[in-house]
Amino acid sequence: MIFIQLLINSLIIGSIYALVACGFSLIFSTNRFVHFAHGASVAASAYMAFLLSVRLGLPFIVAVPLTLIFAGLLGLAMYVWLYQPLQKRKSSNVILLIASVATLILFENLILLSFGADVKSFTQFGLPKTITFLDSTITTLQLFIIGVALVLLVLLYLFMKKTTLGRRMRAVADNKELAAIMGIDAKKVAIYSFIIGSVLAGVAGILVGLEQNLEPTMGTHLMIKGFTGAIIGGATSVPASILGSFILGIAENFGIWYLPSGYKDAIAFGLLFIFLLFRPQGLFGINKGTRK
Amino acid sequence: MKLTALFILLLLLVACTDEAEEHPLRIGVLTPLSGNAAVFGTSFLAGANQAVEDINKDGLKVELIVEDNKNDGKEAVSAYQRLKLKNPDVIISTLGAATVPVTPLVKADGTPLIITYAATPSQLQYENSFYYFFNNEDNAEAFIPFLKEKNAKTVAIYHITSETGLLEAAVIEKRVSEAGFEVVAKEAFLPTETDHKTGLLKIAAAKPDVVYITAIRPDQVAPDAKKILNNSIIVFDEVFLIGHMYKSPAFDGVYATVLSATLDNDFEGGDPYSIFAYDAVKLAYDESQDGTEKLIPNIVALGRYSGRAGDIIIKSATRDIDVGMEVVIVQNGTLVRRK
Repeated sequence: MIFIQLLINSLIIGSIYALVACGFSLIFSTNRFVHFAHGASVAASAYMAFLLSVRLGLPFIVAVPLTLIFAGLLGLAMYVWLYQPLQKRKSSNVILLIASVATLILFENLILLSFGADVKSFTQFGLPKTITFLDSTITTLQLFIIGVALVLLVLLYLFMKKTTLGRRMRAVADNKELAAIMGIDAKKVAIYSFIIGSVLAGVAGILVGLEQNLEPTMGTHLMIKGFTGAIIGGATSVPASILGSFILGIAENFGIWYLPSGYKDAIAFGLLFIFLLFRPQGLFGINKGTRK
Repeated sequence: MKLTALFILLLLLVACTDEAEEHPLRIGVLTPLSGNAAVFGTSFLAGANQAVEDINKDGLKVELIVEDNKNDGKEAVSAYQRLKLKNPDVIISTLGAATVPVTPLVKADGTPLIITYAATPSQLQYENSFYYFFNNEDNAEAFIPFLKEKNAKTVAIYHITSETGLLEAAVIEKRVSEAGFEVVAKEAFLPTETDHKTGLLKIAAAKPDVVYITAIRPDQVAPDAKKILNNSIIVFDEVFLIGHMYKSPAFDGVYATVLSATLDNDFEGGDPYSIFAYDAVKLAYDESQDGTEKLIPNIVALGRYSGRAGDIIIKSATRDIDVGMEVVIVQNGTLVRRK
């Protein structure tokens, strides 16, 4: 029964990592730079939901869509006001990476200044109920998190496969130059990827806020894990990043069953190191350098 | 030439005047105001500011110079160097991870240092550093009678991997074992950890009667702890008082070691950290009236100090302190005495 409980624990955390990773991967695949400020979207969205539903007293059902609109606009703002001017100046990916890390730290501190360092939680819901089956337990909230994550991930998959915009995103992700020759506006695709990716980060922020409370640094920690999940699966492919995130969740939870819990991050970063070194395209990604 | 000489003379005169002019006692504060331990720092600063406000009622006598140490060793050294440029008379530093690398530097500079929270033995070897807080022995003193009262046989410890957590876990394990209880599991987790499900599952598998938990963010442990450790009695250490975390429904029904003075204190918004900060500032001010160089000998000579944190016995030989702690239960967001 321990096996099932560990699997459930892996699914819960894997779902959260996957929500962060798929947004990150969507942006990375269409823009080809590491958007670490994605973590800022996660944290800012969580605090926005807190502001709207707890501080301003709006019903949660109203606060959530408003928060997701905010997340999308935040992503758009980051692209238009941060990355686009840098790209116009032909800044290298290293510069973009530095800018994204700086933005992440800036948002962390803005949240700290605006909301303070003390613990924030969505107090209106109280404690979730626990469901027991096969000697394993899961709360209704955790079940909800897994459910929301899976539904969103399926919707994202369908969006990428079946819609024109999704296909354009995949085309840009696959070959930006060829996509441009085919008349696809890569800039527009980049804007949409930032909006959709940030909305997904917003969902992750709200769900994490509900499960683990809010703290200004929450985005940084999640971003690192989401990034690791994306690298394990294959950062240029959204489905691969999702699978990589679940693998990371499984590796962490089963790993610390046999190793001390303090090794959890060591397991994650050990995997990251191995993949970066030996399989940088990830488990399910395609190594374009060797493709014929 | 004469003009230059006159100018230099004027400069010297101004410098001498500045030096001779009396200034308020400058208390440097090194505390985390950002990062994962910012909740400690903001709470600490609230208490320190309250003390400054009270002391300065009749004029400017003391001022705080605050630097953010982020509860990180490297950041703490840099914060200390920034602080040093502002010439503090006394320094108060909080949290061990950030204070450990700073202590030898303060020793070299000779500035009196008061450490609140998590002083390690290595920090207490210097003549100019002084520890003013409760310690892990105080926690154990409250915890062991509780175990006897509950007829517990086995204990598990779930603790953070910070220097503070490791030290506390070691003391609790030693004292609990010496008292005849069996420590059946001991599990550590990283300070950045937010997902405790599997770590707590390992603890639950050992079937302990009582689980002692020490975490920098107990609010992130409590919901899972209550769910997973439902066959054990859960005892948190006093950290969950910071920022009144215990008021969260997640803590309802758990036990905790707390400073007895906290239960009686009417200090508005006060938790142990702000209360100790208040006392530390007052103590620094009171005992430096005849010169900051006399601060440490004066405190040691005091023997005991009655502040907001209660009547604290100061053991001059070890510069350790002895405070009253007890185990309380949380009920509907309030701390309830068991007797």
